[in-house]
Amino acid sequence: MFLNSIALISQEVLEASILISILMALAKQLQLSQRWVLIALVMGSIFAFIYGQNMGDVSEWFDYVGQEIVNASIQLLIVILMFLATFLYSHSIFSSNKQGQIIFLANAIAIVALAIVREGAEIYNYLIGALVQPDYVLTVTAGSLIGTGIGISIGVLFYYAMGALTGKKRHIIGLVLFSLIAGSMTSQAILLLNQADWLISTPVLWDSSHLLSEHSLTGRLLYGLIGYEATPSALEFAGYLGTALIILFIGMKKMPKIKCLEQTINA
Amino acid sequence: MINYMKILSWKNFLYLSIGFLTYSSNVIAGPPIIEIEIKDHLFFPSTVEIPANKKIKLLVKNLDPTPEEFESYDLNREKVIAGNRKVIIFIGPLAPGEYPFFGEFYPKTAQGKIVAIE
Repeated sequence: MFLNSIALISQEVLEASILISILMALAKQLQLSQRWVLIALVMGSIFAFIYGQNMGDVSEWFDYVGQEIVNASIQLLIVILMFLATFLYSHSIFSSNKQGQIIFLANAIAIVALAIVREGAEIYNYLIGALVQPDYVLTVTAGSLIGTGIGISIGVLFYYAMGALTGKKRHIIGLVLFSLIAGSMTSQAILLLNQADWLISTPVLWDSSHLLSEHSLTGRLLYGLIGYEATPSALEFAGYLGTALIILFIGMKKMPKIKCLEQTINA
Repeated sequence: MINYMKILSWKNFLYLSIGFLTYSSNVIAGPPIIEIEIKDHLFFPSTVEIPANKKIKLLVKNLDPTPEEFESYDLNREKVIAGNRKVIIFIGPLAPGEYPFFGEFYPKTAQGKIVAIE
């Protein structure tokens, strides 16, 4: 139970943690206050609690596939908001004025809160099940705390690693990571809709489980980080690639303007 | 003399449509339903045989008061099942072979496998 809770919680926390660290790095680049993270964490936790508590009822919606539909909608909404974040960040006309910055922060709050809702609801269900059994309370609490610690640490590491990079490198690496996370969100949404039988199942494109198993620690970390899947279907892969390319396209298109913004900030 | 206008009335058209839809839904039957139960953090049955290359509707009933998460790396499936609730998970079409699954909240005990047979 101890190792299981570490693995489970760290994987769930990691996804939101990386997303937070990249958005924080982008906000820092725009010289914005980081108080938005706190608002996002509180809002996300409240909604995760509500969703987690009502998971049983939600699951019964749409002929017992409500959970997939709600989760896929959350994932797709996050992807759309990530498109908007990339657009706002990359166009100095928005990122350099007050209104644009407020929209950027409100958007960042929505992305993080939504990411926490989904992962948090799962953690909530895990904990209410495990913590009612006296034998497990100590091991599960300790494991969950360590798991949370691991998830947050990796996020913090990412944040400072990105901070250590110079402007252009930070922009490119941040953008690539952002595109991979958005890609992973789309492929997860496709998988969920397929699980609910709302989308047709397409053939598996490859099987890399012998190279890197999803059971392994690295596999689980990579799943949390960039949505590593050992046996992706054609549709999941297409969704992943398409989304990642859209983010790169939006973010790369206005590169010269970022330089203009940096010069304005430095001046 | 037969009144053709009466035969072609909208009511008859409606009856015909309902008849056709009922007929077609019987012909194009949904995927077969396979039932799995979770009790005391164990899956019953723990080995489920299904026909290969066919879509299957898994009906997973959680008889425990605590939530469980049905998870399978090989099936690419993951779903929380609240205590004393049931859910539906679509799987397949699968190539012949074995596909292990487990309860992510209690992976030591809650284990099982789907066996797709040609």
